[in-house]
Amino acid sequence: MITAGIDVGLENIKVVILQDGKIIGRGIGRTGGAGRASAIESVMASALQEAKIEAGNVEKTIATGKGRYDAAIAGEQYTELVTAARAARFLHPDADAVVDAGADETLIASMEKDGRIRESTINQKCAAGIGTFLRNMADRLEMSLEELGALPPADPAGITVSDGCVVFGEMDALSCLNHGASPKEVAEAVIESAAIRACSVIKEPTLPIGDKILLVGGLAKNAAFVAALERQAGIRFIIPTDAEYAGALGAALTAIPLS
Amino acid sequence: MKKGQLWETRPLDSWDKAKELRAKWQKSIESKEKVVGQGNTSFVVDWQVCFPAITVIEDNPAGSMIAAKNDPFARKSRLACEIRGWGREICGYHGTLWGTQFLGYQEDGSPFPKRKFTVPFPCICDSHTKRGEQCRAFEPIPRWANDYTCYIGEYDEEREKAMLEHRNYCSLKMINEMERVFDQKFDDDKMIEMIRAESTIAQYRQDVSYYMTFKPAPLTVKDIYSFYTLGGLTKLDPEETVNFWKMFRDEVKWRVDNQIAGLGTERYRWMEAHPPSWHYLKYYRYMEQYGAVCIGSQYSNGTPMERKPDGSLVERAYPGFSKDIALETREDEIRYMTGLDARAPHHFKQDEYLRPNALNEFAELYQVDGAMFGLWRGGVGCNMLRKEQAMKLRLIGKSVLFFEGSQPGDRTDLDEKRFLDQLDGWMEGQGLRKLED
Amino acid sequence: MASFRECAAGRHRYAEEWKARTGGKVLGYFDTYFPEELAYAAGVLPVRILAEHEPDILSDKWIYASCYPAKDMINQFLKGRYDYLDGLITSEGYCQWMFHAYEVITNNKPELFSHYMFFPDYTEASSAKIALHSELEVLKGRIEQWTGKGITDEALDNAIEVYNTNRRLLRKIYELRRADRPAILGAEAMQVMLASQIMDKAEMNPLLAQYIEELEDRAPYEDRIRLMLVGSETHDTRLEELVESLGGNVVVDELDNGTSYCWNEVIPQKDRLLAIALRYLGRPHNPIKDCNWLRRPQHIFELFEDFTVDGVLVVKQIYCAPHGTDNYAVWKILRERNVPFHFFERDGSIPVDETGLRLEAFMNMLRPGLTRLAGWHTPLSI
Repeated sequence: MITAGIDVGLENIKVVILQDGKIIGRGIGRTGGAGRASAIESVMASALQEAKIEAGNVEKTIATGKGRYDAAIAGEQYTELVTAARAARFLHPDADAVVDAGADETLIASMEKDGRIRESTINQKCAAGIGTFLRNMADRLEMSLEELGALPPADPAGITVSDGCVVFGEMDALSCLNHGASPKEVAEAVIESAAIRACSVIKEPTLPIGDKILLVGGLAKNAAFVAALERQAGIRFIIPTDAEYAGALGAALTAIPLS
Repeated sequence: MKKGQLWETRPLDSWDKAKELRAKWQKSIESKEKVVGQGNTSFVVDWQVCFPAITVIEDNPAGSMIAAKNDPFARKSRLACEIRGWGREICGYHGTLWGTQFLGYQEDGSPFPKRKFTVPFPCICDSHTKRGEQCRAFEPIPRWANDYTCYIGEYDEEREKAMLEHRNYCSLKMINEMERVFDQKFDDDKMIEMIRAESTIAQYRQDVSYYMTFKPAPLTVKDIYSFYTLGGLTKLDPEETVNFWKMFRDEVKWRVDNQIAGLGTERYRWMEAHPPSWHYLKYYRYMEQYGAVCIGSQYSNGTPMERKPDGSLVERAYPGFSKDIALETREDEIRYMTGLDARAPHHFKQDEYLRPNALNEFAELYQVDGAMFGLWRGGVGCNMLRKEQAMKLRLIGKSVLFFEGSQPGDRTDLDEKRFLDQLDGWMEGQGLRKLED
Repeated sequence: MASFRECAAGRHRYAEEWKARTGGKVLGYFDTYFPEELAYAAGVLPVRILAEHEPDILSDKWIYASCYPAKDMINQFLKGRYDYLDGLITSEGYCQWMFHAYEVITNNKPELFSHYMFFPDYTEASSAKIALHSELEVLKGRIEQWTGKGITDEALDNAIEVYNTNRRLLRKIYELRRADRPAILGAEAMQVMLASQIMDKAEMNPLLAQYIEELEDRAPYEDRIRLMLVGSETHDTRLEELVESLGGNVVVDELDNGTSYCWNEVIPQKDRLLAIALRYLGRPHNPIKDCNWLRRPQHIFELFEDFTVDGVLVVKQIYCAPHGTDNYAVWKILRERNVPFHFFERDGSIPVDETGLRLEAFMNMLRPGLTRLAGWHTPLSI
């Protein structure tokens, strides 16, 4: 059976196509603004091309992510929580929990042994937009996102910026720049504050979680952020290859009927 | 039969009588000559109606009605407050209402009815504590403060005494002084009649609340909110209101006996704590698409049962309404209204509501599967201990969802799209899908 | 001074050392409505819970949308910074954020002695003193039970005297700041105030007396714009320091941890508890306790006049509802009486650029009209 999953995130659209439980095609592209519907089609087309199949061969498509209702080609929609948990179990059958950190949202879902979600938390507004914030700060500091992600850990005795929310963080960051801090120092402090915000979500669950915790979503690719998050949370994450495709993968898995 | 229907359901027969009572009450207040003041009318019984020409407007319903009816005007009101120094964290009930005072006109363009006196009742939450101030700072008017007394922990008879005296003194002074300043006679006989009626209604209300613990729930929280203002109708005709409440109680009991559900598709029960977002009650219906029924909260249902030291849950007694206590003088009335527990009705600091386990008992009694709590940016009282109580609920296997908003009476920060998204995630995370799907 | 500054900066160290030195109990309190005299008379050191500025990943789990001090207090307790405390008290004197913090902390630290003291909101009611007297009796009994020894009248008299002495000395520092060119700036004075809420006052009083003597011999600072700080209290001196870096000086405040903490004394009488109750009921109130007669705006104006203030900074913590609701009445009186003021909100950290710009602009606005700059200080040669 061939199924497809589309993850329409705030910054990127990801598509995964599965055949009999194996990934045969993937696609990724910018979400865009008003042209989101056509962007979805375009990313889907590239995934189909990689899978070397026609759209008609896909038996069921499920969309997830913030823009899931914009994917007209999807037959059903599921929330990120469900798809992230589904993907985590597929990628790592022993996973105890999954953290999905993306442009807009950070969530954590802990799971029972049978894969059901035991407890979940999605960020409140003060921890929203961390991924987008880092991208914007990279632009402002005239760095690429890759350069930002390659930075070393912040000096504990160095400058800090507010960890109240991304707006407070940005205000402090600009203040530091005006007072002579280097873009690198500011970037390190910004990453630290973003990690503290994300950490507030990760620390929220009440019930104990095991130590096999997957980190997925776009921010899993940002090494500096991951290092800061691990340090703050005291967690060593399992980061799967192509972590940013986890939502789409989960959606494609959800499209497979339960036997 | 509707898809997913599990229980028989039907409309309430009591609705017609309720509407009739409400219409009569509305007519009575429209014709009343008024000295309009600010204050709290729900001080056990509605004392204001014992004055022939005094009307007290409460901030809470007034503010939330503006937000519900006219969002642009509510925002304009709040801005009028903000430029006068109020932060966005001020409770929306007050921000919206007092902004209207600053603007000078109401949502329909009519002049803002300036308050001629104020009776601040402090302490429910910080914004409420300060709510009597705005009309007095605006122009000089008489004020009579009351006080809510409070302590936490076990009932303490020794501490109670002085606190109760403090409260009785404040209330008595308020009524005596209002008589003098406005040259109006307070009708003590009517007050006594209302107190007696209230003590009967309280029992009926408690019964209705208890019936909500059954599966399927005979009503939904939407019904409870439609009825929970009705207790105040004693102001018009205490006897008729008592009769109505008896009829309503009997009908709900009949529904329980015959398994008539408020929501025919009930397959998931959830609870809240404290008020809903009054301008966005749609979320109750949205959840019903999943067969999820809200059975209420401590705020809507009260706490009909109490846990005894031996662990048993028994019906809660109302010591303040004992029929054996003399009720003849004004002081008797005041003492009745104050009650025998200096902490009541101090919902936001009462131990009953603050204990980390407080909601667990409610959850178990009402057989809920999950709980949904608002995190209110401008509702410090509404948030008290909520996160800790959520942890305790999770420990007994209840799923908890938090959503964010400004405050129940303010729509500024409630992101409706995100809220519904969260509801989908919460339901899907527990394996539920919309019944229409 | 070094000792006061060090005490304010390393605030936990003093109490830890005091405890090690005396073997006594340390009692944390949240607000300045707590009648410290009762604890002090029992040989207990009352220590004010103050906020810090540390990265915080812990408090979000327990509290939502709170002002930063309440969040930070939870953060500090959960991190173990206050592990030296034996007990914790809230006296209903502040906002619900503080009450929330108290609840979270005592739920997390059940081993602490804890007590909730009711303090009337209607402070002027004649029944308020009866209610508070009763609560003080309850508190006294609880402390006696906790410490295992009775609080005698002599011990209460001594505590009242020690505290009154401390209040007089602290107030004298304010009096010295009324000079046209004071020898002490706002940040330094606030450090003394913060230290006074941490230190054993019997130990502090001689040091304070000596410090004041030195102050009186100290050379005055150059002419500076005189500002007054009004609003939510702050537990550090960053704002005062920023003002000073721009050529201003906070000469007086209307803060709970400033003037309001030391402004009035206990007038001794035979009924010691009544004497204490009347002191706290009659102190300059914060917005939560000033919801009846609105005395606070007038009090602010009187301080403004007494200290020849050029302009008032009204600074509110984000999420501080009591001060948010009081602003209208405060701004109104300041406007009516032609008092220049500037309002802004602050969080745990102060964005230096933005705040500096505000302060600089405000002070620029004040400068041209200052009569003091045209020889106000020149001794009159009559």
